[in-house]
Amino acid sequence: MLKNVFVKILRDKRKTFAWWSLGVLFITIWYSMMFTSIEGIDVSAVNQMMESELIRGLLGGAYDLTTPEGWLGAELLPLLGPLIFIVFGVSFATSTLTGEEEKGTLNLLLTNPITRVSVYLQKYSAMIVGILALGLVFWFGNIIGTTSANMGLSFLSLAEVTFSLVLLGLLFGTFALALGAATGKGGLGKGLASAVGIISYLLNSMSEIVGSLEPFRPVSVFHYYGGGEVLSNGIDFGDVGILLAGTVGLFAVGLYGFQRRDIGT
Amino acid sequence: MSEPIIETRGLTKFYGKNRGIIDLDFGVSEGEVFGYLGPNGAGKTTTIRTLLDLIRPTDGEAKIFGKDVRLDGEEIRADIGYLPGELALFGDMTGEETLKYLGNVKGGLNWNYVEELADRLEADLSKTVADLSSGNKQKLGLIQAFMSEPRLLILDEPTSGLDPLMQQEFFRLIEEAQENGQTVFASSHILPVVERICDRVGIIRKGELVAVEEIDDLKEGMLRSLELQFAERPPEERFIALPGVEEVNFEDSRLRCKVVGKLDDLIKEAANYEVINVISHEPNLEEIFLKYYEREEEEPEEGGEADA
Ligand SMILES: Nc1ncnc2c1ncn2[C@@H]1O[C@H](COP(=O)(O)OP(=O)(O)O)[C@@H](O)[C@H]1O
Ligand SMILES: [Mg+2]
Repeated sequence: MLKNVFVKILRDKRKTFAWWSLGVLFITIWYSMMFTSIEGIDVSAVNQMMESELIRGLLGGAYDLTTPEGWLGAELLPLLGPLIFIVFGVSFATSTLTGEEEKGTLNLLLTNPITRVSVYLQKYSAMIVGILALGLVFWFGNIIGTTSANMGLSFLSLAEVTFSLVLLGLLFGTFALALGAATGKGGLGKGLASAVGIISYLLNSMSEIVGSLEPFRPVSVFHYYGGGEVLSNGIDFGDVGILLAGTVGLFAVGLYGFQRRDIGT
Repeated sequence: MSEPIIETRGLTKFYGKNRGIIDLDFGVSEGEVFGYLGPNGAGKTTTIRTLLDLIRPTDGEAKIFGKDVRLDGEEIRADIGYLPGELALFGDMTGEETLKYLGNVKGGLNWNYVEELADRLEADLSKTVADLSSGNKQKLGLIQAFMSEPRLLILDEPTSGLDPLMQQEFFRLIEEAQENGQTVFASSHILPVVERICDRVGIIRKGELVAVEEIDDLKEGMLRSLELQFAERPPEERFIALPGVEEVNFEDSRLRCKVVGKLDDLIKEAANYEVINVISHEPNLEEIFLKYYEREEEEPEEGGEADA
């Protein structure tokens, strides 16, 4: 135990991660179980409401709540899932590197025979492991939930949709980590990542109903996150490529900036 | 002397417009205990953090073990034990976990030696760091600096928070380190600490190195305040006439004066009369600085300080 920086982060995060896992399991299972409760009631009225501009603008599309894909695609996938993965990724990112700098322990760590590149890589890979692990929990929760609710979704398509959430979390986590690493300001990374997340989300979903926003849609990160569509149409490798490319670019910016700057006390 | 362990040339650091350190040139030799003395804000921590490559100089360069601290930092730091001025540790870990972790990151952890150090400093390694007093945290800081028996120890205000007993133990650790041939660079704003452990002293003020002196030379020129209580008032002129004795001031049979360098003349003169008590006040940092201020103010080009 406590062999290196990487292992230490996983140790530091074990309790936080346990709570997140419980929460994610609860949300995913409970959400699918709710599907059984609408069986037998007439949802046509609700579906009609789903067609309304307001709902489409908020959720980024219309969903048929009577189908499993529509049910998951209406809220869990466009809204809750991204929220979970982005918040998890960003808070993981800011607590590891800039968090340690703000506490002052980075001072002690970096005076060891260890390069900044190595510290950055270890912190970064710990974040990847964290997000992937949360992805596994999310997938697992959905498997349990959809199976219990007899929704008949394939484990593979659930895995695909989880994977696109993982990519989203990774992108935002990288954004926060890299910005904090390059500037030493954890708050900046966190704040900007949240702002970009919210604006991206609104831009993408609102352009569903506001035509004038449509041309700007490709700017939104959410445009490349398939959400509910992944469940019905499978994952889009072009989108995956774009999310990954953004992640790699941000990662590089952080790595470069972190090596060059002064470490705060 | 033997090969230089630390060497700086024109080392300068500005934080934006704020002065950190200006144009430092100094060297520390192998096996030396070098004191780095200066009041708060003088630039001691800035110097140390530059040596460790935590911050990057605005100008100039620093070498440790003959290698550039920027280019070969990783290799250099393998042989350095460092105690930060403001020690921050992992709050949720015990002392033992902290030292094991830091030891693993450093490599070559010798746990038996850690336990020996902990014993000597009376540090409780089973307690969670967050529950430790600042003095007990400082002990952990010292242990992690010493535990790898590094070739160079860089200690930023090492005695802060230590009670007098532990301070003595710390002095012994420094002496042993020196016997082992280790080199020590220790900053302090407390003169007696530096006086106690160091061979040479660099004096820093407002970011500039104003003097580097052997500790004995420093003491030589030191102005010491003295109080002598006599049974009866001796003749004042005899004391005023003594070389190196200044500000002679009698209050009944009590003499107050200042002495530069050795006390020999004064004590021998005093011995002609019945002496009841002698009180010697440690010269403080201000008095030492006064000496260097005066020297500096004789030089005409002073005044660059105004914009700092
Ligand atoms: N991160 C920083 N940003 C701006 N100014 C700083 C910073 N760190 C130190 N300084 C300034 O540099 C000067 C030297 O500080 P420092 O090296 O900490 O002194 P010392 O350790 O001798 O007390 C002080 O005037 C201080 O205000
Ligand atoms: Mg300091």
